[in-house]
Amino acid sequence: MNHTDEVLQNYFQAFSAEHDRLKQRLLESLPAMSTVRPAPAWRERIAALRGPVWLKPSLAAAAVLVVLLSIVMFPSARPDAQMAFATSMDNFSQAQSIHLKVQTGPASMEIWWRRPNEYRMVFSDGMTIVSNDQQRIVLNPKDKTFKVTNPDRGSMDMMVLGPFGMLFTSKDAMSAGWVKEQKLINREEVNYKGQNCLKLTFEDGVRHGVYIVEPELHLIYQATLSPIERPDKANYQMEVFEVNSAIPEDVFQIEQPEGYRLIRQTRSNTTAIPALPVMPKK
Amino acid sequence: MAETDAQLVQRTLAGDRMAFGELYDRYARVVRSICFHETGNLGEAQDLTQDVFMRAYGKLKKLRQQERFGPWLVSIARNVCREYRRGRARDRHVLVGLETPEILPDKDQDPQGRIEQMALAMKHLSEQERMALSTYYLQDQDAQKAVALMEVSRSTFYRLLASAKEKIETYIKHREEK
Repeated sequence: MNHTDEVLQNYFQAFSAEHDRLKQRLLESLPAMSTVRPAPAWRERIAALRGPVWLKPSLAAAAVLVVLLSIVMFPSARPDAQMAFATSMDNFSQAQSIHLKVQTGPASMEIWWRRPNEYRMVFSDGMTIVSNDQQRIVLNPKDKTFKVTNPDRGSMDMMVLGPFGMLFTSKDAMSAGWVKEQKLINREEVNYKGQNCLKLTFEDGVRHGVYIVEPELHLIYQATLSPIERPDKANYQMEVFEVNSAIPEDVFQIEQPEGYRLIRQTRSNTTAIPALPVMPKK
Repeated sequence: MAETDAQLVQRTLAGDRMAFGELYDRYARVVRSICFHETGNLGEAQDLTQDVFMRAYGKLKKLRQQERFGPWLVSIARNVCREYRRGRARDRHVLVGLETPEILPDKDQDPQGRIEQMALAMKHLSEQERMALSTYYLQDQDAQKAVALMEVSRSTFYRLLASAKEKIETYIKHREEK
């Protein structure tokens, strides 16, 4: 036996560890097998069914019909829509970080958010809001202001996300109550960015919502909301890019650009806000 | 003369749990190695192995070709590993951000250290090469049993085994030179 053989034998010995104990445990937990005769081989079963020659084609046709009906009436197990939606919302509400894009009316924004209260929002008109442990900063290119205020502990800015913003920022278990109100209207299997997903339509008396959900990973990829009386007129669309990814630290930082006026609006009874970290120039 | 797998399956179906125990003796180690190569953790691999055998027991009545119990069991193991992988992805809010555990160097040749080092070596092999090693070393180094379990030709099996051993040898030499 050479050295490699010896090494491999030693390695594979590890898979015998506790074998007897695990075997005992398995055997003790096995349910009673009902005493049945083993199924006869398929040829024997077909031979047993053989009858007069003229029955054969009828039997075959009947079998095909039964199979087709089964497929139509009793489809093989499909992901449960309500469960997939509920679990996806639950996962979303417990996310540690999220990166997504939202379109509301003519405005759109890209958002990075990290628990408990750090976020960056970049709006389509160039406005950027960054909030971290130390401060909240609003960069407004229209009036060239760089406004520094106290940190947004309540994540009020995240309310721009509507019910979705409250899902993962609220301390209450929002998702359970919200999901409970949703009534499933339609279910479709779709291909979304190369993945097999469910397209689920829900209504809750106020809103008509269409969601793209990955039913096995229980991730929500897209949500489109519209008023219930005008389901064709979406007024809110959210696209989720990443959940629980490691967002780089500099996403939650921002530097004052040249030519922008600094405005400090902090509450007088707070301690002095430390100066912004100076970002190295790229 | 040892009973065949088909005979043990029939005895199990007749209510003889000890027969299932014998099937466990024959295949649990191979299943454990498949699950270990998925999880990287021996404890989790043991748990998944129990799951594999429980499922096999539950589905035993549906097994038509009882002589194919071994390969059928391996396919169940692969499905369980696939579900485990998906389950890990689902729990991303727990798992994402965790650092990969550092594998400590095998300085004092402790068994746990050895298995971790070899697990790293195994990552350099294809799945078929790993199976060739597992089925060979965990079945008394019997090539016939390994070929039957992998359901490949003898020549393919020997080619996979040789390739796997060569890669392991290269890995070991490389480590010893450091």
